[in-house]
Amino acid sequence: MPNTLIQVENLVKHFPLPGGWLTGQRRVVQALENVSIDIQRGEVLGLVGESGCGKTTLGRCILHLEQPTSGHIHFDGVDITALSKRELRAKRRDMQIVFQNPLASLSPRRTIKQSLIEPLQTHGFPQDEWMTRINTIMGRVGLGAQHLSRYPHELSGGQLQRISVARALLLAPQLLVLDEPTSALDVSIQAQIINLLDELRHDMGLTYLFISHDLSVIEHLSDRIGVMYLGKLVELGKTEDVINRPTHPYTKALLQAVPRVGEQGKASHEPLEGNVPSPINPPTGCRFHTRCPIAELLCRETEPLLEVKATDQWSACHFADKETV
Amino acid sequence: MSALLEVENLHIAFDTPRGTLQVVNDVSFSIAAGEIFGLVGESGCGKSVTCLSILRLIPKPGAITKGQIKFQGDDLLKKSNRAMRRIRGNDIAMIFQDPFTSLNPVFKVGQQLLNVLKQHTDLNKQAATARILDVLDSVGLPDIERVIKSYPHELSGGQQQRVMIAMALISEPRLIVADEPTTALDVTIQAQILHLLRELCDAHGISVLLITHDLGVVSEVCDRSAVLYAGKVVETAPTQVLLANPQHPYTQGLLAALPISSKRGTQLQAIEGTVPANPGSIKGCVFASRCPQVHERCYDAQPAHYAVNPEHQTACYLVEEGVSDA
Repeated sequence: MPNTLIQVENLVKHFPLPGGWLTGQRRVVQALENVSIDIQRGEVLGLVGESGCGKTTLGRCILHLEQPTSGHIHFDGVDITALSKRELRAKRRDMQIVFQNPLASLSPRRTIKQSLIEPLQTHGFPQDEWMTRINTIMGRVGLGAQHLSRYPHELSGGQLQRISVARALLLAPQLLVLDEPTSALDVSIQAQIINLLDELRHDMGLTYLFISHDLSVIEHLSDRIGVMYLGKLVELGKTEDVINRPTHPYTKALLQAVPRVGEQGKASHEPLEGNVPSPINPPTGCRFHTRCPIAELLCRETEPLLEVKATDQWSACHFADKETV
Repeated sequence: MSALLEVENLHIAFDTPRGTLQVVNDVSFSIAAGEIFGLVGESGCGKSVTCLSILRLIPKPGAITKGQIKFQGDDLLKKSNRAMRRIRGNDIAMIFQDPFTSLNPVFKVGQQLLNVLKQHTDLNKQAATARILDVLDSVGLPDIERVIKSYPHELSGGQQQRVMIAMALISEPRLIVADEPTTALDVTIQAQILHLLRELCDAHGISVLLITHDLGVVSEVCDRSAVLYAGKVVETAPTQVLLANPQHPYTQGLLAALPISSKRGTQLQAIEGTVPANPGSIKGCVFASRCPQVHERCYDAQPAHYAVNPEHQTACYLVEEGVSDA
């Protein structure tokens, strides 16, 4: 078995905007531009970035919920962008997703049991196995048989998110894409779900792609972190390195901006100025140059490539080296 | 230091077909002039209802059943609706969580600000325009001429929130009630807005009541804070004391549940269980059912607010014992 579970090569995803048929110029939202990233078997890769940076689109492309505009995604050595619908459906068993809002991702008209049976039915599991599988997995996520006959509105947010995780794990997938799984939850419940995810991963040998805007959650769970900005991967490295020795100015700004307990009056620091530019018409050169504190002429003209700056630490910045030294 | 706002023994209840729901139960706190006061708690703890009650904006069937809200010495609950309307926006302004739904989508930003000014002042058009430009400038908006002529959807989330703050500032209030003002924003934008609130407070001596669920936000900008749980204030202290030396088991639990760097690779301490559905019906301490250090008597009667020191109060029997032992 190869050690790399997912390999994304030069992935591009454009969403066309309506209109433009008069002028002949179709405008597109450049959600992902040439993103290459790999996920090793058994690792947790955290993807962090602000809204609109393309982190969710990347997750959805990896599951092939979105058809990429160009580029390749290899899952376990197989190029899933070249698969037929039928082959893809079989592959989907190995990759599952947990969404942000559990109340919205579970049907309000179905009992939990009905919602859990569906994936087993779809993927052709023999009927006599269904209940044993469901009961085992419910036990794993810390819920009991009494929850099966309930409807989603009868359960709390934390319980619902446990159900979502259970549903994703029913098919015994290799990869779990977690798209902001704790963002809708309160801190005390968030801690329960983070602990659960951490436990499951070690016990079941799962691989996670963990997507979040919350650096502290990402930092807690991930082995490696990828930082995205405006459709680009700007930094990638081991969690300790990215957190303690960030090389990209955006990563630094992001770390600075997170309000942390015990850091009083950090609001007195000058925060990063300006807004994220539009992905319809992104800046030339380095996409971060409009807000970057160390930008120079070169940054406006030439786009920096994602390069190795330290051991296992990649960064897309012309001046990343200078800054760290 | 005299208090600008004093909330005393506030009780808020909602009449529902299934009976009365006591959502805020004996909440007291005070805010001094020029101070940023944080009200922290998880969803459903009554923090938003508390801040709406200050402006007497609680939606029906909710009602304030007991208590006093003193603003500059006057009880707001005794004011007529007419007098209250003069206070809203004039002396006390409010900033909501989601700027996009709070701004009117069919009017340009300049027009909306002008409407606020017309309501509260009798400036002529020229003076009003000057005031609008001035206030937009003070909240750090770039390209003000363009902003005035923009509709809300043409601005980014951070810019919209700045417009909201400008709208709150325009009639020079003494107190701003901000309900989760940065929750809908990205972290780098959140940092800008928090920075701005702190600056405005320091420069104009405005007080802010900041409602949030994020202890990090509290740590950064609030001078003093109170922790709310199931409609009760469980602990009040200067923010850094509260975070460094929490006395109530709930505050301690909240802090332990936060994922922070030093806890990487370890289990987070979750608070087991869930918030009680109708805390008003509980005889004892509202946190007793989830408290890791619960005693017999916690179920029997509600603990009073015990003083750890003059600035630090907490509603927990453990502290009472600690104090009497000392």
